[in-house]
Amino acid sequence: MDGTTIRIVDGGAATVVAIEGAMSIEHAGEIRDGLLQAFGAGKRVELSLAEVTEVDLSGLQLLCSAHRTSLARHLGFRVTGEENGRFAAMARAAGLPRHVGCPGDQFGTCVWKRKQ
Amino acid sequence: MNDEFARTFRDEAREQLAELEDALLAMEEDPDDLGLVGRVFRTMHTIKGSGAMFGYDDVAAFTHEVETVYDLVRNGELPVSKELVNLSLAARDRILEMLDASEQGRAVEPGLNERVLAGFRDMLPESRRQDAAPPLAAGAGQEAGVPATYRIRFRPDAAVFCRGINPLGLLNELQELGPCTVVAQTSAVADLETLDPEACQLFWDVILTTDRGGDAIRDVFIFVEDDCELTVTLIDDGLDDARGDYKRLGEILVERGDLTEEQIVELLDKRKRLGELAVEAGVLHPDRVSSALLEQQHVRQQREERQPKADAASSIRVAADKLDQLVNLVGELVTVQARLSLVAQGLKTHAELASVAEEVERLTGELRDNALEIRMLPIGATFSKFKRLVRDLSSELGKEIELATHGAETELDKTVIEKLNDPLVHIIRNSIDHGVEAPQVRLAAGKPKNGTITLGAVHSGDSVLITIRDDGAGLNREAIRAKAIERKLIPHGAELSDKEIWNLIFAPGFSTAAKVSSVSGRGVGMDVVKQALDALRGTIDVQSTTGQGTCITLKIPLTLAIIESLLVKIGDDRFVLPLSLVEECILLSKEETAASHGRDLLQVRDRLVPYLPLRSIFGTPGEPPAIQQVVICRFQERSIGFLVDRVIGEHQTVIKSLGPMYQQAEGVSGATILGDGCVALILDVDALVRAAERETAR
Repeated sequence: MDGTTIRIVDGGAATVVAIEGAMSIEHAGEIRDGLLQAFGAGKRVELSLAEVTEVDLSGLQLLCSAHRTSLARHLGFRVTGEENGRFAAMARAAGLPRHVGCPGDQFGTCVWKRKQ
Repeated sequence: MNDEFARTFRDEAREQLAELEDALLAMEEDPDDLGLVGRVFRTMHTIKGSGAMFGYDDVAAFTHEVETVYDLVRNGELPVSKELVNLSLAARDRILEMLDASEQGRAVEPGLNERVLAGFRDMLPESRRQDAAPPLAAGAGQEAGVPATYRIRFRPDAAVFCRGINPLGLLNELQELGPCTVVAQTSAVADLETLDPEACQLFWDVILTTDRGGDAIRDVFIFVEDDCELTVTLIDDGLDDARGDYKRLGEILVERGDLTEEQIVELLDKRKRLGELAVEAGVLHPDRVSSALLEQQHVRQQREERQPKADAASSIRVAADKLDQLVNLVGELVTVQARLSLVAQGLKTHAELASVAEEVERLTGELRDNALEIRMLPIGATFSKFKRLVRDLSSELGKEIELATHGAETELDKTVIEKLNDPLVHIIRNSIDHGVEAPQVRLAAGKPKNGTITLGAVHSGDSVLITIRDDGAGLNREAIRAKAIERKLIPHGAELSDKEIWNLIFAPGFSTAAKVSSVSGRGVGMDVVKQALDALRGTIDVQSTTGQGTCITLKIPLTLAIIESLLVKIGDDRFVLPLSLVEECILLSKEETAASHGRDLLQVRDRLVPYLPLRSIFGTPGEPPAIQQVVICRFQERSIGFLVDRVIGEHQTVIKSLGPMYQQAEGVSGATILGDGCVALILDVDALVRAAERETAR
């Protein structure tokens, strides 16, 4: 899929990243760079996935990695729009949802934590 | 091929198709529920697999193509759409048709199958269209065995994404082998700075229960064997019948090599939950604990499920006609037993015979209850068929109607359920066509846009009450009345109660529909319903409020074969009345009869109860005894008496039909054979009351 765009906007207290298009292996590099750039601002990062049309395992892996980055840098991280059925189905098929986050997840911001 | 196997396959496939229809309709209501998509997929998969195994290659090939689309739906690559549900329902109908056709030895029209399949193929993205290859030949490589549980650790090579291999596809293939719990391990995922976004850093623990054996699991990974680390460990062979219990968390973690025994001992000394401790101590990634806990849960669940399955395995499939024959024989036995008891009573001196007769009576009673119980089925299967009816008809008529059901677990005799199908279809069709209004009419009337039809069943004594309620416009009192006058069913200016008006709709050929639609309006329907209910010894009651809806209640006896009844005598003849209707019996002396001045009314405590003098109705010769008895029955919410010579007592009535010669005889609905070999007629309370009402009206 062509035409994946990554928009990074300064949202005041947070840097807002919106991905439009496919979050797939072809775009994994640019998405990683975009996210790194967003974290570079030194503020909380909000990632909107509402406009994502397609996602594969590399995309899910990037979410995990971005979360790890936020923990290492002590910056907040929040994902929105992931309730978009596509994500839930993929994450479930990949066995990602869980009850407890990873060891560094002291703020409980793990992307895969089930919303109870 | 062995016919027996083919029949079993067809029976089971039909059950699967019913399940499929249910799942599809539920999926339409809740398209985001992936559990339902999984249910649809699994059902298709079972039909495909067993079809191929039993030589139904057409069914297998057809289902395979449908399944291909569902594979994408399951992976979230295709949405659940109305179109998908419509096509899938059509596919379900085609599979049913293929089964029916093969049973009747005729060919199916290939064009129809092809049209449905073309619809499915159009849904596939371009890249997947070639994938729809025919399925494997019959039973290829399948070794049916005891389901066993395996632990699979699958760590693909980091370059797996770049080679175009999708590990998710492999995980999905595992899901097809059986119940599967997948846990992704994220501990190796690096942060963005060090992450190679094109390298796979995830790996998986999978707990899978399957009866296909470890080789089938390895086969899934056959093409990536050299590009991954794969361990498959049998953790539960399915033979050990340990109840629901499984290894402790520590044991699992040591087995997996995630922790050593020493680490466990050290942790356990701290008297906290092992998982928490291990994570706190930093010796274990929480993913590994989650994975081990899920394994524990998965195996426990599998073991628990095995318990009831062991019971289910002890059930067998029996042809319905064998059961019918059994019930008939039991009926004969009940009759003979009554005769034996009578003989034993006559030979009072023979104490031993009396005791044997008593024993036989007790055993026959138990046998009768058991035999009848075997034929009891929950009515839910019939209910779920109507979901499809409501869905298809309402969309045909441009209405939005939901079907709600309750009491699906209510059990009724199999033959009763079969005979109920048509009347229920008529009533529901009527509700959809005449009852529930079009969406804009509903909105204008301040009602919700979607209409609701509620189908319910509940036990009431020895009957079942089935209610069909809609929230539509209600019956049109004036239109029914006008039509009834036009058809000379009632005289001009007749004052009728609501109930009497509603009962007019059961007259043959009665319809107020202004135009004939494909659904109703031809005037065949409610009278057919009434006839069917009469044949079932059931009653029908209508309640309707203009603007609020109509509720039709069917009261059906639990069984058609044997009923508890009251045996009465008129002259030399004996008759039976269904005991469920009888309220009480009252003596009536000649003086009392004389005092009522020819009106057939009886003072019962503080009310007057009309009664029917059966002796004169049946034209029984001879004089009545000085003291007669009135059997008071509760019928259609009122009391009505039947004047008989004498009440003999309770009787187990095995119902026999009257035979074609006597079908028209009014006032009797069947016959039974008494212990002494004589025939007693079963009184048709409804018909007697209606005949008396007609007489009075004249």
